[in-house]
Amino acid sequence: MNNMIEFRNVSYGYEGVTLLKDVSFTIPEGSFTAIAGENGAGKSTICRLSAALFRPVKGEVISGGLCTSREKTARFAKFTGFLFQNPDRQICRSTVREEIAFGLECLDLGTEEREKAVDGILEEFGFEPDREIFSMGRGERQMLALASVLVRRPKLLIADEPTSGLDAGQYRTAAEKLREVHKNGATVLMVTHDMELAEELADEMLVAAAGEIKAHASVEEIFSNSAVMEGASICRPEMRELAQMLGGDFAGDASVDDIVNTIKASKRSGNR
Amino acid sequence: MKGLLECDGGKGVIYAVNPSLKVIIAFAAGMSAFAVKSISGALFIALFTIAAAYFSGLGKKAVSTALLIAKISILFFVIQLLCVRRGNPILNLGFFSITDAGLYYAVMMALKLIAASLPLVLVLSATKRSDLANSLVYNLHIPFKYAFALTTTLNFIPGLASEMAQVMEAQKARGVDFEIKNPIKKAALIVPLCLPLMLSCVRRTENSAIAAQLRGFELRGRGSAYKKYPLGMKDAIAVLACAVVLSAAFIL
Repeated sequence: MNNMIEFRNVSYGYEGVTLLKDVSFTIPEGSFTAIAGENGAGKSTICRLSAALFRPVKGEVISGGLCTSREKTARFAKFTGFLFQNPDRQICRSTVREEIAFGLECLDLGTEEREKAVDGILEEFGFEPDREIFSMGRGERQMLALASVLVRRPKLLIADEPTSGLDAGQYRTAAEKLREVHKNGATVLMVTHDMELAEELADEMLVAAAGEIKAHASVEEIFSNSAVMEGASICRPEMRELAQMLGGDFAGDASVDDIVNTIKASKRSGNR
Repeated sequence: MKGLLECDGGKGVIYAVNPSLKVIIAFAAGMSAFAVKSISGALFIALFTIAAAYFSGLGKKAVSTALLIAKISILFFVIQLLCVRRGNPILNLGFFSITDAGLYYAVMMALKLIAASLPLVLVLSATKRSDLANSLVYNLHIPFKYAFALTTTLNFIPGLASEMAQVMEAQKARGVDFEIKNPIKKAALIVPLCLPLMLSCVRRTENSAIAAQLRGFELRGRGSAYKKYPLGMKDAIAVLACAVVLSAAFIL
């Protein structure tokens, strides 16, 4: 399998502040990688370096086979979708339709193809095309930002805390969309503090702490490594924590149903 | 080095002077820079400001700010150079001609712009906004709401600059190519960004106004600040030094 992103001894910082120290890792094409860690650990810096929004001070970043230090950011934008934590940074049009179409304008698509893509995504997300963005709530704007990224069908999707500010319904929709994009072959890199979401969607996880990568392994392995989890102040999903506490048959990967059924069964046998 | 107008909390000469007083001194220096009648006078004020900045640990910022203002003043320089008809011609460019008087006034205009803007920019870079607001209320008896409005506006300039950088970054990620060299095309790309910028500014202003009101903004009086700002010997020395320098600038 080819690598979509490759960090080779990358360091990054400015004005005497080091944000990343000699970081090396690879993200395989078609994988779903969650990046976890404390605030200020370097998670968003990794995302920006991957999209060529930042250039490394030392080392090199290869994204989609291109070296970010040698090419223009616009070249990477052709195959990369970047969802920012704050949707207001990327919204630059006044109506929903215009905003979704804006991202496509930079892709040299024909008018007909563009209109078809816009109509498709409007229907998929259930947006009113002529709605003024000014009147939309925070969650809706975040969903609009997601739609305007997904309409471009990116090969690499970088999502910086994609579910922040969403209500329960929007959260589920966003999670579904991310799963769908991944299923359709895109490589996804997602920064999140939400370990339930990481467990649900990601196959592997990068754990960042103080500008270094402390671990890069499958989600399963990371969640069973308490030292790494504590070192990066990450909490296991509550179900895993409960399963770990209960121990025995529950330790490892146990679902709500597994635990409920076993408790019910032991209660029944205790009653008898 | 922090951005233009952002205070990084140093400990030099400029930082030590009373906040209201240093703003007054900066205004006086700015006005004098416009009023002096010679190149050497304006140059003297600019150099003295840079020296004061250097001894306050703001030397790099002073030089970069001076260069920035110099770039802005190029336009005025060119207009002045081409429009002054007095004096002896140095170069004939058809409809326009460059004269020695034109060149003199163009240089003076550029220097005056630098000398007039630099003191205020540096003083604001060496003053915490909260100190400035509290001192304006304590020393100059300005009602807190006006002092607060002034300092909030000043805070918006670095805020806007960083917001603009982040908005541009988001658009770069969507394929907008800001790395092009043509300034007209670049300007055309920047215009649509005014919308998200305005949006976030309006939201931020509204949120700060609500937050300030909820924290008893209207109940504040002259004695509310937890810090006092009495005038002392170092302030008297600063006024004296400023008076000497500005008088010298007029004599030169």
